[in-house]
Amino acid sequence: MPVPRHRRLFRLPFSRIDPAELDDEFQFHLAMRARDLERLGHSPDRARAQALAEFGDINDARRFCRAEDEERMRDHRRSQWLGALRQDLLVAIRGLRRQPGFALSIVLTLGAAIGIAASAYGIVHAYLVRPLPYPESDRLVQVMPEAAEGRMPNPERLGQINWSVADRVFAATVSWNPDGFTIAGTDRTESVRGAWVSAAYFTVLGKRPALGRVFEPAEHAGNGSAVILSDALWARLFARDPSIIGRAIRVQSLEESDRAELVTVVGILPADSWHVDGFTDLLRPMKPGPQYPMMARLEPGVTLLAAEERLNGLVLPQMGGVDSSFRFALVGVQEDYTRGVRTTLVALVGGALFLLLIAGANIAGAKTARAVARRAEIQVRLALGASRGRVLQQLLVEDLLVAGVAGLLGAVLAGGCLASIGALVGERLGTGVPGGGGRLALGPGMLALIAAAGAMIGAAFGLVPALLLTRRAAAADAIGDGLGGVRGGAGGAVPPVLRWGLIVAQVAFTLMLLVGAGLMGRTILAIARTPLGFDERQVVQGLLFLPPARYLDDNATRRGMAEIGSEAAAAPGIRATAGGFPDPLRGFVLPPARVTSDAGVEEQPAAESVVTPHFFEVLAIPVKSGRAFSEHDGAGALPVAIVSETLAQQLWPGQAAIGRRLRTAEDSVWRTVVGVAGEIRQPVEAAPSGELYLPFGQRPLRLVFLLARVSGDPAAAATELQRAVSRTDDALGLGNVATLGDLASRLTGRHQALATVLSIFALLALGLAMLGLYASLAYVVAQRRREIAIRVAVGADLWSVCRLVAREGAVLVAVGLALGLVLSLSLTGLLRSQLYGVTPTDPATYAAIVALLGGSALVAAIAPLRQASKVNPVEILRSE
Amino acid sequence: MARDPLDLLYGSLDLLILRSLTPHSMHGYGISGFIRERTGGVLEIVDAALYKCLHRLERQGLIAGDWGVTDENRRARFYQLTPAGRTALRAETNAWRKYVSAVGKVLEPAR
Repeated sequence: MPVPRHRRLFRLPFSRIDPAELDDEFQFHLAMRARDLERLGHSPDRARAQALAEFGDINDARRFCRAEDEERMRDHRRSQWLGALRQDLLVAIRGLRRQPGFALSIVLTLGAAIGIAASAYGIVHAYLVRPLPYPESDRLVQVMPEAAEGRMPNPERLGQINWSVADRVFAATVSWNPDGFTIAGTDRTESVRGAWVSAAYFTVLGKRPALGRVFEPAEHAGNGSAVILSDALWARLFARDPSIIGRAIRVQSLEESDRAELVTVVGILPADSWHVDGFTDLLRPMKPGPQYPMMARLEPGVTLLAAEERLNGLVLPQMGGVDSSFRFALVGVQEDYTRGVRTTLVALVGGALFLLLIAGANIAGAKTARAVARRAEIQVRLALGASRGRVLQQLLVEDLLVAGVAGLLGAVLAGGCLASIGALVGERLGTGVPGGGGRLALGPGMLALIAAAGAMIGAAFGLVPALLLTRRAAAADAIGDGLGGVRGGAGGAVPPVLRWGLIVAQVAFTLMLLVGAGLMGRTILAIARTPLGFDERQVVQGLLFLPPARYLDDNATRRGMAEIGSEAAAAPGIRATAGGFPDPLRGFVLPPARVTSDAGVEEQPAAESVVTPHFFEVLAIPVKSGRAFSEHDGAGALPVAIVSETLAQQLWPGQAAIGRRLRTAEDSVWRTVVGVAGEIRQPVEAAPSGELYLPFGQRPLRLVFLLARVSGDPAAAATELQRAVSRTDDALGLGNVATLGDLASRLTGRHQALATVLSIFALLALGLAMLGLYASLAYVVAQRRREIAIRVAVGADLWSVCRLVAREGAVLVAVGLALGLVLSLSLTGLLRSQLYGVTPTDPATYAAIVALLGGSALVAAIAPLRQASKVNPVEILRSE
Repeated sequence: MARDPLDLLYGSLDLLILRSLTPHSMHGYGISGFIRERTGGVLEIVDAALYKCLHRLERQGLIAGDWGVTDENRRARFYQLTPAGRTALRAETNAWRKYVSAVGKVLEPAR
């Protein structure tokens, strides 16, 4: 309730009423009534008794009135407080309008820091905090084979498992097989990503098509002549025509060419549908039968560990003898999905938090320096009897007002930033935002929360100076000081410890950000400088599957691969082609082969690839000695192999490898080494593992990556490559077509993003720290003008004056640097997993950063030192 | 007593108190006497109810109480109308008149 207007206008005294006075009021009434009754002739006793009787229930009246009075007093206090708040606000606004520059600088600094911190948190929230967009998504798990390093059983062993037992562990399990599809729309054909999904797909995810129905068992069992489209694809190809349901359209699969091509549209997915594996454009029904469960929904009430125990109990006995360290682990889908980005996100939000702390310390420093000007005003108010709480409230209202505007600015910045960077964040992190980029955007509630939190944080940084300013002990000194004008003494209103602490904190946090940025920068440089060992530029890669229905045996497969190779190599824009498996950038991760040599080395792990003759030429991998594979390395010929330099050293240290023999654990054939190839490595791999190459002719595979070295536009060449494959055999298609360059930069994108963001944070922090140091030194100079003037007057030279001012700053910076170094060394272990080619304690990086920060501190000190050197003793001393 | 006083209609006590305070401020006993006198004893207010009403009206900001001294030099709590109380009195009086005339119309014998 606001203060009733009349009270302020007429200054009616607000009357307290305490319990005793309430009784006085009643007693007055009873006495008056008794007197009147006496006048009518009653005896005093009777009059008194009748007055009391007439009054009614006096206890009830007392209770009621007391409650009303208390309520009134509460209202009064509240309205008084509100009135004071209003007054404080007006005073604060007037004060800020007098110094708009100061307020604006705080709003901008704090607002930007809050915006950055909130954006960083928003990203972390979308990835790690917010549940995936499935009902009860915390019950969704993935089944991951796990084993000690190098102890993973062969894929064939996994193939022996009858997964129908999984139904006894989970509420439902689902399998899918991502695939590329060519789909014919009303006016055009489009190549899209989709998947073959098993029957429980919708049960496990807890979703339903927005239109139409799910697949029927007959559609899984037959030749799969049904399709469910995504909302986006439906819009693109069929203009959201609802009559598409039930219509037959042409959909060709790249990998499962034996299934129907003319299929009926049975459903449309919801517009917000999203899948952890990225395919959402179309779904086709997978053939029935137990499949490896890629995702499962836990039964209600069953814990992850219990389900894991039960699953391994059912599955491991089926595999015969496997390594004792091997088991199937259940991992939460969200945990698994965000595994790769967690460190990056923690580093991101940590960096943003440091920046916010630096901004806060900066503001606290600026407020402290400015506090000198207000010291007299505040201490006079305290001396005149204002309560400390009242003055603190006034100061806090001022802080809250500024911080509130900053919080609002931060929320607007974060809101705009997060709403527009969804796609970019997913691309840079290499893992899309869970639920789609749009889910990065914050709702109004969250934005309001950010604004409020920002305001609280901002105000908190103003609290310490405010508390110090209102200390009574400082009063007498301050009044004399403030009213009397400039006096000596460097201390002043605020103990120097606070100011020192703020500078030290800014320097230390800035150093930490610089270290993070420096180490990530070194990582990027190291990645760029480390040769992959092959030339990834101008190479197009696609996944090719030679279905057994058409390529009946190894001979047919060999022939097919050769035909495809020569047809593709003749296509325009394509210079050479080769086949290989796995892909050079290891999108497919296979267990390492264990190699035994004729020199007695046993079970040496090595990465095994099966490659066609032109593989080394297409990827420009140098053959250091011996020869590459040729067309003659076929079925009937001498079994051969090529090793990388590292593997050659491991198997035959100090000897020539050509002509020596080796075999792998899976393959009893002894192979003769005919060539030694240059080492290749992965973009962010610490040390290359040895490579073993086997000729495709002697180990034909049905799944193989077709690689083509192209000239000119890779996109056009990719289309030519796809056409050439279809020309050779119209049942074949090339899947997952991409350039190796793009794939490689996607692998390093996360490091690049972290390096960029940390660099920006570090630069902002450096700027703020310099400003803070500048302000602090300028404050010292202003405080010590008189002292400096006296020293100059008695003959101090310029150098000693500068030393006087700079000494404090130098000590503070040194302490800050030392503290920052200690903190960095203890924290950068966190960054270790993101680093490459540089250790978390790299001395060169630390030295460079200390030098940079020290140099920046010197630059920040120049202006205050010049001020100090220009002190004119005559002027200053006369003005006193 | 010659006859029982009429029971007060709910809410009308507020109106009577506000009206009593129109000319000048008054203490509780004065208000009680004023109402009894003006109605010729037809309306008599239970004192407990009167004080409850006074303290409630004060909480509502319609009247303001303050300690003062009576003609006989006794300390008493005087109440006076606030501007908000004056406004409320005008509004309540109009409402009351409308109500009375409406009831009157119903009670009049049909012609």
